[in-house]
This record gives sequence, structure tokens and C-alpha cells, in this order.
Amino acid sequence: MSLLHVDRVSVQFGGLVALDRVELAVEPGEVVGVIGPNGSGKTTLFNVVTGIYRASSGRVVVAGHDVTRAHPDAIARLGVARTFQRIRLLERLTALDNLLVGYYGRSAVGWLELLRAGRVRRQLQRFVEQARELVTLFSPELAQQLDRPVAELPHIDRRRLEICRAMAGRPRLLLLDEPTAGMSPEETRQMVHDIQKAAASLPGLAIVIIEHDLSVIQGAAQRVVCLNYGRKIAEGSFEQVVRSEAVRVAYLGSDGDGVAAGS
Amino acid sequence: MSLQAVLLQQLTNAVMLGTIYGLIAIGFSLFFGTLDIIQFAHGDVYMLGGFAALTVAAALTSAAASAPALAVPLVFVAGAALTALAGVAFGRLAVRPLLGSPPLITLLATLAGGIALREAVRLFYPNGTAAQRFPSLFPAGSVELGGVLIRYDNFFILAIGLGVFAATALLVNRTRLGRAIRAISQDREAAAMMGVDLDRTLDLCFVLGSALAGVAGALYGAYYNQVIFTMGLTGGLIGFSAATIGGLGHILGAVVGGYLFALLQTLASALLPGGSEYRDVFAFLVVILFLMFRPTGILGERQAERV
Amino acid sequence: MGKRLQRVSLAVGLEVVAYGWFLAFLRVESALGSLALVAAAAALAVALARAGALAWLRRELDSGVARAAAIFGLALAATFPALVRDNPYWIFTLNLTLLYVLVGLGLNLQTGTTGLVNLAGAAFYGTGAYTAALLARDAGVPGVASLAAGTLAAAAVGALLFAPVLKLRGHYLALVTIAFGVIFHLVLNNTEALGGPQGIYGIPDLVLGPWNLQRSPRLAGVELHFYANYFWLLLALAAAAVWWAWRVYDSPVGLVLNAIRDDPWVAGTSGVNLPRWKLAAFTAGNVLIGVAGSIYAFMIGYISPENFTFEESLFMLSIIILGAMDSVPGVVTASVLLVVLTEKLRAIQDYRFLLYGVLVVAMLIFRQQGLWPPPWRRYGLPAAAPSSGGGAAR
Repeated sequence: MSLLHVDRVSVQFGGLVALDRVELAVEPGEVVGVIGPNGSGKTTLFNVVTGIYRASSGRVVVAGHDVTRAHPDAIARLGVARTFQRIRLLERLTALDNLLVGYYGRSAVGWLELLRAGRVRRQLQRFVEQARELVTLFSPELAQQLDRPVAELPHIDRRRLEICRAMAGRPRLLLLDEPTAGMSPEETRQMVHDIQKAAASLPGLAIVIIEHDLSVIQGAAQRVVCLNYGRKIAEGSFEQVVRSEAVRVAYLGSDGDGVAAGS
Repeated sequence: MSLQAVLLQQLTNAVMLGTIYGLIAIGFSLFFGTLDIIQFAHGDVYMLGGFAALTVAAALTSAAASAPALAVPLVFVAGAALTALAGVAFGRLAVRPLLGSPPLITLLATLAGGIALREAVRLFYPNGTAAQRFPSLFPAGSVELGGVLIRYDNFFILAIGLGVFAATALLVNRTRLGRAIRAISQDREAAAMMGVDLDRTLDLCFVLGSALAGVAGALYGAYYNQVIFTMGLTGGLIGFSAATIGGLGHILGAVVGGYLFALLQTLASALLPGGSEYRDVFAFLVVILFLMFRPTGILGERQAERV
Repeated sequence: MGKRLQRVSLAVGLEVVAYGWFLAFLRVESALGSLALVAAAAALAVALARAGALAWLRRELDSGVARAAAIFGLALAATFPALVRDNPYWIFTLNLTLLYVLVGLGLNLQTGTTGLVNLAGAAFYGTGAYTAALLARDAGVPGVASLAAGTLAAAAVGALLFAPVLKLRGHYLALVTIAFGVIFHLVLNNTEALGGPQGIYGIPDLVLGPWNLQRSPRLAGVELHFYANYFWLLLALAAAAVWWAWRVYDSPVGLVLNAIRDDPWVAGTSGVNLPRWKLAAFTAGNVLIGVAGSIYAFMIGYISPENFTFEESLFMLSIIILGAMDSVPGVVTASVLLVVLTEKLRAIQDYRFLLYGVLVVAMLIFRQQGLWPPPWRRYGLPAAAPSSGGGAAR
């Protein structure tokens, strides 16, 4: 049984077909890259898997649970976590607050528990420690600045926080939407390295990563899927996909310089 | 009166009210479409419209220029123009500075601004607490239709309302301004990059929406022969409800919603015991229930959220 | 130990000074005199804040001193009815202030913390008031039970109204709550069984066990106005509500509610069950508003639809805009400012809604963060290395 099975899923907005019978299976421990030109439906795929959009037809199955009609929180509690193409942090809160949302979203706290101050505090202390350890994997300096408001932090730290928030609840499936967008080649290399390091601390974690930078995909993904106009036009190893005629056409029209730019 | 006559009477009433509501609702839809806000002071702008028309009418009477052929257009045009001015000023002062803020903030600002407008009229209009008599603009008399007497002014109200609806539709669908408005509703940033003058277009949106509310306020005065400073609260709430029923962001939906709301009200007055007191209660309850089943309105709310 | 004693005395001393200033402020008759007092205090506060006194104070008073200071402050406040016994009107004003603290905390939990705009604060307040009053007067229900019923009614009506819009964008809740406010007013005015426009007279005394709150209490041979009873009751309730609200704010619950307010997508994809938490926050807020309304009905003994208008709802909301969104100290500060200043400056009574309207717009444009923005959360954990702490900068 696959961890994630996107079963012939279509998504329509009015007359626009954003996803057209897309098929995708992800196994535990796998890293899958999703590529495709702008507007090809990559983010829509994430949105439909995380319950933000609803499939017009087809099924989404997570670890054996049909979540086609489920709400985002129910899907998150099955162990699916994500980041967003445009970083979404709670701008009025601190870095630690943002990370804690990742921990507390999945583990219930109730009004009544507030009365059991000791228990709440112990749990909190545990989460704060875990958060600090997790962030340290990415940047020890950032781990020392968790009491700062996120709005003050540089772009790369904000991206790190968003990824850490997604990993906070020990997900089984992590969806990363262009995690290195807007970063220098050096930062990109560092980020990919850090993500792999952090992922190693969660055995069995599967990652689906949307990327424009093909060198990132080449280094990190065992399998690559290419979307175009909402359709899956290629799937296989990185080499297979970038060499496929359909992918060349999708990216470049008909002739082909530039796809290989990343390699 | 026969049942049929009663129904016809009620229907006439619904058409009149629906026209007024539709004019208010267009503003709500327009502001939601272009600015992604609910302009809660719009009801009070509509109230200002009633008072603006009243002021113009009073000035005309004292100037003894009360030939209806001249007075009626003057009252409506000047009243709408004054209201448009007030609307733009309100937009610049209380709405535009807050456009980047969370929706909650603009919502509260427009609500509070609305209260300020209402209270200003109550306090500073001579004897503003009381209802103000609105002079009759249209020729007196009535015509019998299906056993019911229908006053001439009903025809004028309907004609003015339909004329304004048609003009609005033309403006939005056929002119440069309309194109700019529609572009902004699609995507504000993209429209600005494509050369739409954002500042000017948003100002003109306030001009358009507020002028329509001004016409509605004047029609209300002409229909009930009075205006009062509190009329903006219910008027605004009804306009917002109507725009919501129709689907926020849709101009046509707003008009349809306006007539539907009026129909609900008149149904309630006709069919419920003690209905006339509870007609708004009934209508609002239906709107709340409607939201449960079709939250995006008949034509669907324009989706603005993107990842 | 000596250090701690020093800190406690500093806190106590500050409280005594503030209390003395407040009493003097109430005593001054002329509008000019009170304005002068306000100006003097404000100038002093600004000067001290500029000089970094706030950070110093926060450091000095932090941890451990808070509880002692709060207990002493409450004891000090409890003497208020005795100190102004020649002028029960001020006791009444302070009672109103405390009621608004309760209402403000409720609205703040809904609007400030969770982002659910409640534009029918006065209607929920009225639901509590009418339920309690009618039950007590017409059904002979005893005091505590009427208060409880009023509270429950407000919470239940809120939950019922909220259900249809739970999953919709924010402005629909605004629509539903305004509509409820208007409906509430219309129904009260037009229903004879609810007293119609005349309202409800002759609400019986509030008796809680052996304590009849409508009887003038005697303390050491001195008779106080019966408002003093309500003052103590409300002081206790408001203190408890402040304590609870602070606990919620400085906890994962407050954080999760903030996440719902700031980004429902982030909250949802992090596993937060939005409908459940929204409903919980809305209902809990209405509990506070409802209990305040129920007590209000008994205290003034006569209620009518005119007490529960849309304008009143907006006035209630202006408390949290002035004070600061999601700020417990902000609610308290703004309630005191708005209620006491309005009562003090009678001349502007008729202009008050106009002024509130303008004030709110001005606040939103020029100082959106409010007078007293909430501090960064510490979750009751020991202070970390203060690399940049302190939320006042927001």
C-alpha cells in the first residue's frame, strides 16, 4: 500500500482544468520531484492532496484512508505536512510561536488542560527542546533566535522555519513547494543538504518536492514527475524525464537548449 | 380586496423596494470585487444620498423652480453627485489608507466610519434626530391595474431604477473604465502592471458605487416621503445581504439579490401573522439559512485567494 | 529575600500612587481640572517610557512579584466603594467599567484572538440580560440560576447563529452578527411578551445565598450604597476573567487561535480543527458577555431594547481596537478609559458615538497596534536570553 496514492485526480475551476486525471504514488522513504512549467498544476496537486482544493473527480488516498473529501486538518493528522510556494508564516508572532503551531496543530490541547498548568508546561518544554534541536540542524544561529518576531528574519531563515514547522509534527509525508525559490546557488545547496539531514532524523519520511531548479531535483529525487497543462507527461528517473521528448517540448517549445542547464 | 389584488399590491411594493436594494447592493459587490473589502459604511452613504436629495429638493422649492420636468433630474443628478463626492472622500479617508491591512481592520474601519456619518447627520442636520419629510417629486395620482391603484410615482421609481441599472451595465461592460474595473477585480496587481491607473479607477469605483447609493437614497425618500438618519443601518444590511445572495462581486447578482430580498420581505408581510413587524426578521433569517446551503450566492463569490 | 521584598514594595507603591491619582481624578469637578490631571499623568508616563522606565519596570516586576501585586491591587480596589461613599454614581460607573471588562475580554477572545468579528456584542449582552430578568421576574427563578441561564442563553444563541457560517470567510460572520443584532432589536420592540419598547420593569433583587445585592451593606457601622455589592461581585468576576484570559493568551490555546486568525490555511494544514476551535472561542466569548449582561439586568433593575443597539455593539468593539487586539491588559485599560472618560466628560455625552466612530477610524489608521499591544508569549516559561524580547515595539 502506497503512503500516498493520487488516483486519476482532476481539478476544475469553472472551465479551467487545473489537473487532468493525474496519477501518482509515493512510497515511504521516497523522494519524488515534481517539475513542470509555470501554471502546469504542481501547486494545485499539493493543494488537492492537503485538502485545500477538492478533486472534481478521482481519489486521494493517504496511508489507506480515502481523504478525497477530507478537511485539511484531518489530512494533516494523518501525517501529511507541507510548505507553501509563497512562504506563509504567522507574521505577527515569534519564530518559536510559528514552530509551536506545527507541534500543537497535531496534538490536542483543550481549555480544560489549561488548568493543569504543570502538565501543560512540561509538554511545552519538551516541544521547545525538540523545536530547537530541529532548527539547529538547519542553522544553529537561528536556533538561538527563536524569540524573535518572524517578520524581522531574513528570507532564508523564514524558509527554514516554514520547513521546520512542517516537520514539527513528525510527518510521514512532507510536501515542499519550491523550498529554494529566491536563493543563491550556495544557499540552495545548503538548503538541500539541510533538508536531507533533517529528513534522516525521521525514518521512513517521504518527500514530494516541487522545484524549478533542476539541479536540486537531480541531486535529491529518486523519481521525477513532470506536469504540463495539468497532465502528467513524464515519470521516471531524472535522466529519463529530462530526455523525454514531451518534457523538452513542454519547456522549450520544440528545440532544446536549457533543460540541461541544471545538470 | 381580492387575494389577487393583495398579491399584486405586494408585488408592486416588492418591485419598488427591490429596485432600491439592488442599487445599494451593486456598491457592495463593486467594492468587494475591486478592493476585496466589505464597505460597511455604504449603508450610511445611501442614507447621505437621501439627505443630499432632500437638500437639493428643498433648495429647489425655495428657489421656486419646482417644475417636475426640471426638478426631478436635478434632484437625482445633484443628489447622486453629492453622494458620490462624500463616498470618494470616505474612501480616501477611511478605506484606502488601510488597503494592505487584514480584512478585519477594513471591516472595523468602515463600520466605525459609518457610525460617524450617521451620528454626524443626527447631530448636525437641523432637527436630525427626527424623520425628515421628503417632498413629493412626482405628479400625484394613480392608475388602476388589475383592481389595484398604483401611484404614478411607482412608475417613475421603477423607470429611474431600471435606467440606472442599464447605464451601470453599459458602463461596466462597454467602457474603458468598466474594463479597468473588471481587470482590477480579476487581479489588482496584474491590472496595475498592465497600465491600469489604480488610484483613479478605485476613486471612480467609489464614485460609481456611492452615486448609485445616492440614487437609492433619493428613491427611498420619494417612495416613503421621508428620510431618517437611521435608514442606513437597515439599508446597508439589506444591501449587503442582497449582494451576498446574488454572489459578492457580481453586479447582476446584486440586482437579482435585491429583488429577491424584497420579495422575501413582502412575502413575510403578506403571509405571516403580524408579518409587517417581523418581515425583516424573517428575511434575515432566510438569508442566514441560505448561506448554509449556498454560501457563495446564486452566481458564486469571486474567488480572490491564491497560494 | 530582601530583593524580593524590595520588588514587592515597589509594585505596591506604584499601585497606591495610581489609585490615589484615580481617586483625585474622580474628585476633580471641572472638566479642565480632570483634563489637566490626565495630561499630567500621560506626560509623565510618556516621559518615563522614553527614558526606558517601562523595560526597567518589567524587569523589576517580572516573575514572582506579579501574584503579590495582583492580590494587593485587588484588596486596594475593594476599598473603592467606601472611599467614594458620598458619591454612589462613581461606584456605578466603575461597575459599568467592570462589566465592559468582562464584555471586552469576551469580544477580545472572539475578535482579537481568533479573528471572528462579533458585531452583535450588545445583542448577546441583551440576550443574557433579558433571559435572566424574565426568568427571575416571571418564573421566580432564584438569582444564581437566572444568572447561569442568562449566560447559557447567550452562549447557546451564539453557537446556533455561528453554525451556518463556521466554514465561510469572515465577512459572512459579520453579516450574520449584524443581522442578529437588528433582529434582536426588532423582536424585542415588537413582542409584548418581552415587554415591547417599554422593556422590563421590576426585576427582582439579586440574592446569592445569604447575600442580597440590592440591600445596602454596612461595614463597621458605615452604610454603603447597594452598588457596592455589585462592585465587589464584579471585581471578583472581572479579576477571575482577566486571570483566565491571560492563561488562555499565554498558552498553546491562544497560539492556535491566533493561527486561525492570521492564516487559516497554515492552521488547517498544521492539523488545527478550525470549526471546532472557532466555535469554542466564539462560545466562550459569549459566556463572558452573557454573564455580564445578566448581572447588568439585576443591577439596574430595568432594561429596554434601547440598551442593546447596534451602536452599543460597536462601542463594545471599540474597546478592543483602542486597547489592542488580543491584549488582556489592553481590554482593561480601554474599558477604564472609555467608560470613565465618557462619564467624566458629560458635556460630550451626546457626541459620544460620533467620537467613538472617529476615534476608531483614527486608531486603525494611525495606531493599528492599539494602546497596549500584547507582549510576546512566554508560555509561563522562564525568560530566555533577552536577545530582543518585549512586544511593546509592535
